[in-house]
Amino acid sequence: MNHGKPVPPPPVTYRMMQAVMCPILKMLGLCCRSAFHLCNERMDRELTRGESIRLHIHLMMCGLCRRLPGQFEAMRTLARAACEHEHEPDPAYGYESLSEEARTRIAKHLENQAPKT
Amino acid sequence: MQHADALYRFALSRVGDHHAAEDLVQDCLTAAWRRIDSFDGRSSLGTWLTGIMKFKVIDHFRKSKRTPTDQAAHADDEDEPGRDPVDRLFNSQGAWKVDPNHGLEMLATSPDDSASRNELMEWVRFCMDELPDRLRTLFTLREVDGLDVPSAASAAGVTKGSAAVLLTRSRQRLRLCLQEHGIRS
Repeated sequence: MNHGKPVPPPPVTYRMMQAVMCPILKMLGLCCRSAFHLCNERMDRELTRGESIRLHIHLMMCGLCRRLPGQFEAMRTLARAACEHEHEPDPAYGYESLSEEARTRIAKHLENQAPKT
Repeated sequence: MQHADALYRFALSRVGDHHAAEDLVQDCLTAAWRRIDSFDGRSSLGTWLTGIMKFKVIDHFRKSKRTPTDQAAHADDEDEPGRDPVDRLFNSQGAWKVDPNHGLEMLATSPDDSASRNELMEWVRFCMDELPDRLRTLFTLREVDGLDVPSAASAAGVTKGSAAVLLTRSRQRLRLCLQEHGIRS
């Protein structure tokens, strides 16, 4: 585990490469920031053909960004799984349940909803 | 009433308020009772009830939120006003200031033992709980419940334009939280 530690900077090789390439990549809309934005946008809408090509080219060139699309997808999957997981009772920690008062109130309410015979 | 506790936990995880969650359970079970004829048994009763509860939660947010506003995009922001929160990640040339893969190794693999998986789920939940209310609501409606952006924005009481900003922000915060608190193998 990595409790609360700041995230370290990227590897030196990346920084050296970016120092040379960055102005050109930025001009072409192919910098890492653009790739990050496109990966994020991709989670909410279909990218245009131009955007897809730009993202593709960037991911081919940049080893550091290559895992970004998978990470965004995985975060969505994990968030869903975590919320499902949350509804399972966990005997080790106990779990939240309806109060007796609420249970009785809801049962009475449902009885009142039942068709009178 | 055997599904009531699961529904209650579901509602509580979404609205974060015990009384509201209890009311939602009552609304959900009442609605289910009224349209029990539409339950065809293709899914389990629990799944069917959870589906109804999702709509009840969305209704709850719709009723409780203010008129959609662009101000909401900045309401829960601890970053400097007007500053793109992604600035924390990139330098002025658009290159990474931090290692984007550090601490996220577990996103690429599935933990094989249940203890690791449970721990991973605990961290994800912790980081989601760390999000400010509005970000968490919108993120949950979009990423967990799978609503499209306009519907999630409407339910969370923000404009569609703000929703895009807030979703970016919530994903970035969740990502940074996971990196800082560590899901390293």
